[in-house]
Formats: sequence, C-alpha cells, structure tokens
Amino acid sequence: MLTPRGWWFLFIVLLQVGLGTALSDQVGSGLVVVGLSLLAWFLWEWAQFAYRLYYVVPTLTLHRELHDERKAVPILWAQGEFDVRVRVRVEAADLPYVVLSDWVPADAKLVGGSDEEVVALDPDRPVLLSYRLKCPLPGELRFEGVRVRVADRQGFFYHRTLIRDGLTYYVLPRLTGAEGKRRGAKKFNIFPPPGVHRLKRPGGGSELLDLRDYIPGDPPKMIAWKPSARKDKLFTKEFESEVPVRCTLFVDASESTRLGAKRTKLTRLVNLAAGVAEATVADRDHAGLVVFDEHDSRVMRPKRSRRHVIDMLHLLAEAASRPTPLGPFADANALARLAYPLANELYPDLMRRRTNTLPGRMFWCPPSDYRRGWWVLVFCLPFLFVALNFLIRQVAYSLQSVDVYMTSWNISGWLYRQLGGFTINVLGAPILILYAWPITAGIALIGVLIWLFHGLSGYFEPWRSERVRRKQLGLLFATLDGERPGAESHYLHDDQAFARRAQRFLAEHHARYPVRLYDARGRYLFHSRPKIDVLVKALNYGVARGRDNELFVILADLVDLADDLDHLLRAVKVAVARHHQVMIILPWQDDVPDPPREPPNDDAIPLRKAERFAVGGYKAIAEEISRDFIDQYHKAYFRIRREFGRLGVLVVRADSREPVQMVLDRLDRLRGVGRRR
Amino acid sequence: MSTDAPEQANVFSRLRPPAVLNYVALTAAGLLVYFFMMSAKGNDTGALVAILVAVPGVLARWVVAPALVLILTTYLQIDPGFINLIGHFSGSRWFLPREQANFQLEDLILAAALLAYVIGHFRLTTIVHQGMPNDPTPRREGEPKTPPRRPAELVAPDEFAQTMIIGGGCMIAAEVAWLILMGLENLGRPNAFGPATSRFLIVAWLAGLALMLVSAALVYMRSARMTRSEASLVLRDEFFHENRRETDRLQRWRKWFKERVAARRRAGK
Repeated sequence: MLTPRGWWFLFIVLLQVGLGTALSDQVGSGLVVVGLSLLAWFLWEWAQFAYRLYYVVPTLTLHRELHDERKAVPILWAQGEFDVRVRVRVEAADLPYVVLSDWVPADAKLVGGSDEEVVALDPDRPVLLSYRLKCPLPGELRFEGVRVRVADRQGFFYHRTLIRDGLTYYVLPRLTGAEGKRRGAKKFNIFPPPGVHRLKRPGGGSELLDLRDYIPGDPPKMIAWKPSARKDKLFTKEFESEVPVRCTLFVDASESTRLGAKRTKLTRLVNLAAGVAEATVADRDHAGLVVFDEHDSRVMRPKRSRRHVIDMLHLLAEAASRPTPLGPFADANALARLAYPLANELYPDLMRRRTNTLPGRMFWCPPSDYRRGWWVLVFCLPFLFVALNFLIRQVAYSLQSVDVYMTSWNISGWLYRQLGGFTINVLGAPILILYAWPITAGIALIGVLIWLFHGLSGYFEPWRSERVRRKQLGLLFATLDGERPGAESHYLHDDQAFARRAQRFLAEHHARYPVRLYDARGRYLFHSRPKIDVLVKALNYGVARGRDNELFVILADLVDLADDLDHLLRAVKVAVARHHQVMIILPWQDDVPDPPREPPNDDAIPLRKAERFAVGGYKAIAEEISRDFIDQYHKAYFRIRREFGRLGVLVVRADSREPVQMVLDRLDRLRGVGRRR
Repeated sequence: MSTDAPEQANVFSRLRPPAVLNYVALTAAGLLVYFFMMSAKGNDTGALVAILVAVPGVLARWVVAPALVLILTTYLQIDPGFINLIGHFSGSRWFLPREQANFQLEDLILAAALLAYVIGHFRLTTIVHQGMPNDPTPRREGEPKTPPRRPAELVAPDEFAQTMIIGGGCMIAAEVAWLILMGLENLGRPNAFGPATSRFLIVAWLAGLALMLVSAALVYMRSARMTRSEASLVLRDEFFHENRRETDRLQRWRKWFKERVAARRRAGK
C-alpha cells in the first residue's frame, strides 16, 4: 500500500517525533509538535486511503458495449473497426485519483481514442472509456477487464486491482474484394439461373440430353416425333437434370494447423472457407461445413439461407479461436516466466504477497531432502563415532564399569593409535590431545559447510525466482480450479503438470507461449494422425447423405501425413465413384518456398559433402537441416498431388498470398466440368 | 495507451490553473512563514538553505526536497544556527539554554508552516510530475513509459478548503496530544527516569499500542472484505506452509517413481 515516497516520509516523521520527545527537555516542544502534526496528517491520509481501498474500490462496476457505426453489436467482423465503450461506476463514495486502463485484447489493434483515463470517480458521475478497435483476424476477442490504479493525492499510497470482465466476442471472418461480389442473377439468358446447374443425367430440365427407345408408359409429349418418323421407331426424349451444387467444406482445426504466430494455417483456412462459403451461397448454391480435429467433427448440412451462412461463420470463428496446442513436452520454468506477469496483472489480489505469502524459510534447501543428503552424513560420521565413543567411556568411567570402558576402547582405540596424538602443558599439567579429535572435527566441518551452502542455495538466483513463481502460480492455479488442498505442491514439483496448467492458463487468456515441436529423438510431435480417421468418417457421412453432383472441398494440412493417407484415399475413391467432385486445399507453410513446377525425379535426398560441415560448422548443419526439411516438404506435397491426381482429385496449394478469388475460380472450373455453356 | 500525440506542456503551464495556484500559494506561504519562524530562533542561515532547497524542489520536481527540508529542520531544532557544528570544527564549545517543553505559539506556527509546505509540495508534485508509481503493464509493447500524473482538472473546488481544515485539525490534534502527554508524564512522577526519557517511553509505548490496534483493525477489515477466492487462497497458503516439508518429500518420492516407470517403459520392460 505504501509507496517509497510514503515510507521515507513516515520514517522522517517518526524520527522527528522520537528525537523531539527524547530531547524535549533540551530543545523544547517545537520539534515534537512539528513531528506530531505531520504524523497526524499522514495517519489521516492513511485512514482515508484504507477506507477507500476496503470499502469503495470493491464497489466499482463496469458495463461494456461494442458499437459499430449504428448500434451495439454482439459479434464482430474481421478487418472491421468497432467502438468500445466501457462505463465504470463507483457505488459507495468518491475516489479522487484513479487511473483506469482497459485491457485491450492482444489480437486487436487500437486505432483511435485512448484505452486509459486519469479520472476522479463519483457515485453520481460514471466514467466512460471510449476507443476504437480493429480486429484483423477472425477468432475471438477476450476483454479481461479494466485495470484500476488508485492513489492518494500525495502519492504516499498506491493500490492496483482489476475489475474483472472476462467477456468474449467472436470475430467472424469477412469477405472483402471481388469474391464477395458474386453474381446474384444470371448475366445472359442462355445461362441457367443461379443455383441451378445442369447435370448430364436424365431429369426434369429443359436441355435435351439424349434420345432413347420408347418404353411403354412414357408420356406422349416426350416422344421425339421427327427421329421416330425417320427411323420408323418410337424414340423418347431425355432431358438434363437441373440441380443445385451442394458444396461441403471440410476445415481442419487440428493441432498442427494451430501452431505458429498470429497468422496460423487455421486462420488462413478459415478465411478461405468463409470466402468459398459466402461465394457459394451468393451463387445460390448450397454450402455445408464440417470442422474436424483429432477427436471429433462438427457438421452443418448444406443450406443456402443467409442465416445458415452466419451460423457457418460462427462455427469458423469458433474454430479460429482455438488456442495454440499444449503439446506433450514444455519447459515449465519458461512458461512460469510468461505466466507470472500475466497472473500478476489479472489476479493482483491473489498474487499479492500478503495473501500468497513467501516467507524466508520457504527457500531453505536442506540436503536431507535430497539424495545428496548422505554426503553430509559421510563427512560427519567419523566425528560422530569418536564423540559417541568418548561419551560412552565417560559414562562407563562415572559408573565404574570396566567392561563397558574396555569394550568401547577396543572399538575406537585402533583409530586413536593409528592417528596418534601430542601433549600440551596447561598450567604445568600435561594434557594429551589425540589427533583423532581435530581431524574428524575438520572433516565434519566440511559436511556442515556442505549442509549450510546447500541450504542457502535456495536464497540465491535463479532458484529463488523460480521457486517464487512456481509457488505463487501453483497456489493461484489450485485456487482457481478449486482443487483439493495440497495440489499446489504438485505444481511446485511436477514440471509437466505445472507446464500443462500454465499453458492452459496462457491459452485461456489469449497469451502466446512456446511449444516444443520435436521430442528428444527429433520426432515431430504434431502430426495429428487421428484427424485422418475423423476426416474419413465425416467424408463418408457426407457421401452417404449426399445427392448427385456434390462438391467436397477438403481444407486440411495433410503434407506431414503423406505416408498415412490410405484411409483418406479410399474414402475419396468412394466419393468419386458416387459421381461427386472432390478438391483438396493444402495450407502452405509460410517459411517453405514454393515447390518447383515439376516434381523431382529421384526420391533420394542428396547429402552435401562432409567437408562443407567441417568448414561451415553449425551454420552449415542448420542450413542442411533446413534444406532437408524443405525437400521433404516438397516431396510430400508432390506425392499427395500424385496420389489424389490418380483419382481425378485436384490438389491446390494455398499459401498466404493466395487470394480467395483464385480458389473460387478453380472451384468454378471444377464445377463447370459437366456444364455446357 | 493512447493513439493521440503526447501532451507537451511545461511545468509553468501546468502550475497555471486556479486550482493548482492555490497549492502554489500554500507552499509559498508555508515557506515564507517557515523562514521567519526559523530566523526568529537564530536559524536564518539554516532556513535560507532550506528555502534554497525547497523552491527549486517545487520547480524542478525534486521529490526528495521535502525530506531534505524536514531533516534540516530537525537538525536546526537540535542545533540552532549550527552552533555545535561550528564549535566542533573551531574547537570552542557553546552551551545552549534549555528550552521549556510547554505550549508555545511559535512551535504551532512553525508546525503549520511546515505542514503547509509539505502538503503543497506533494500535491504539486502529483499534479506536475508523478502521482503514482510507474507500474507499466507487460502485456503491450510500445506503451508510454511516462509516469501518470494527476490532471489539474481533477482538483475538486472544495479540495483546498478541506485540506486547510484537515491540516488545522492535525496541528491542533498534535498540540493537544503533546499537552496530554506532558500531563501524563507529570502524573507519573516521581519515577526513576528524567522527563524527556519518560515522555519518550510513553510515546514509544503509545505508538506500539496504536500500531497493534491499527494493524488488528486493518487485518480485520481485510479479512472482512475478502472475496471467496482470496479466503480460499489464504487457507491453502496456510496449509502449504504447515505441510511443506512433508508434501515436498512425498512429491520427491512420486517424482522418483515416475522417473523409474518412464525408464522401465523406455527399456521396454
């Protein structure tokens, strides 16, 4: 509560009062009256601040609204700008000096106004914080609350807290540019109306498909009279089908797509899927959506209503808001360093040292608690042996027990004889000093020093800071989760348990954290193999319930799984056999260059000469590993293209520069395979 | 964080609003009276030094200036006019007459002057320089590192009057407390201590008692206003410290067992 300014002022005033009182019979009452006046004023300010802190600050409330150009909105749009209005009100009494700063989500960008205000709060006049935000990416925005800093008018007292809000808003992906301006009406009369596609199958359309032999029961109006007259045989006209194209998008939201910085593969896929879905519905076609990961999938059957599009965008935004995966291995101390300042910001009341205490004894590291404890014992054992024997002999001497005395001497005498001794004269009397005593005591002293230094090591950095962070965060996590008492020590000692909880904490609050991509043997940890089975299941479901002329667009990160695609290939084969179209869009990794136009002929990856590594050192090795990775990535891509190409499935690469329009054109071409213009 | 350009106002423009001018006047008046009162006791050199520290302290926003003035005043009260200090270096010894520790108006005026100066200085510092500790949040890069100050617009119209009343009340309370203390000390006579020592002991004892009561009241207030999670955390904290050694040992055995199981699994057993 007291600031440094307050502490030294209090110290000086107390010094004045103390000196003034102690010397009052020499210097009079001047000094003590000055000191007491200042002390009385200080205590008055302290009491006022304490009242505000304990009774006024807890009554702070906030109300948040997000506005677009017209009204308050419950959802946001990517690339859109919004006004955030936060109304802060105090109920009990006034606060003369408060700094309010809103917790702007890390994923949003402040484009206007200020998220911080220095105000005086009054119950009659709520304060309005207003600023403008831009949301660049789809996903979720989380408003943690308003940071409140309260001080007195002199700067003697200070307190920081957070009015917790925890509101989340979905940011839906939004179409921008040409792809949003799809045709809603046919341009030329020869084209079928939007939403109607010709299918070369007999149906109720208007375009002639074929002639076939007359079958009794065919309506007479379907008889082609001219060919029938020419051939002297009855023929029946068959017309094309006119059906809507039903496009189902399969979006991969597995862990492998959620790795990376802000623009993850998942964000790219979500933007792409949103663009394709909106354009499809604008064409009056049906669009469906399946979001899948390693565990399950969420399905939205194809429809073409506007409401359905909004629901799809919601589902996509929900997928985009999924956090970075936790991963099986993580550095607990690195995560603690990230989580600690965030926890201090978010939960200042629970992280304050008055409640989440750190007494000095907590840092003592006794060697007996560790395996190294036996070192101390080994060093102290000779001295303990000598001392114990000495004690036994003294007791035996006082009891006049010769047997015990001699037994003890027989046990320890050998040691004394071997080490010898010397005589010193004290006041004329010779005293025998055996070397066994100082030698064993010296060895024991080493043990004591080991014990001491080991114990004190906990007070020094970096162990002290690590322990502070782990203890305070462990206690906070256990409290937030409502776990049984004692769970905090679990977090203190179990690195993996702590790391997982810290990652979850960071993910919940939209903070970024490092993820280990490879295990100790260099194996990639985020292949997400189970997602193939989930995708296959969802695709089979779509095929089973599909009608003619369905279009399945799989937006999935499959490059790392090029060796495990058998199930998917079989499912795609079934879909193609049922006259459906399939297209695969692979999100291209940002740091991998574009593949060559033609696939390399050989499968082997050439190794560079060993001399190069000898000269180039680690840099050359790193370059070689990078080149190896890129080659493997390209080969996997070409392999996927080849495997699916055999089934007539188009594989498209979507990198960060690939516009949605290009994918839509390819989709149009794909749909136009059976179309006659 | 704000997208607006930072305000570029100098100290003098910040001192210009009427509400702030009140504090400027209060500080100036306090220093003036202080100078006269100290000079009247033969401390004119010391008072001049104090003024030379205090005035630039206000203008240059030295937070340490009131501390220096208070320390200097304390010294000048014990050693008026630096007589003992000069005597120490010159080798000659001066004996000062003993002062009476009863009520004196000059003491009250001096206390009022110093209180006015201290209040004025600190309030001006919060308005023109820094009102609270710089406590930047780590969540955002590029956040301005300038410490927050209290805008002059936040000074309420009745604030100055309230301050004067509170200051006057504190002065009277201090004087009354001192007179009561002397009365208490007289009541306890005769005793083994001198008057000053008795007063010091009574003050120390009263301060200890007050500290105990105030801390008990604060602990009660804090406990009464605790949230559910805070209370839960306090109990957990207590549990943690009471069982730390035992749970530490248990966790170490658990860790050892986990490592052994992992090693066996790696070995394929």
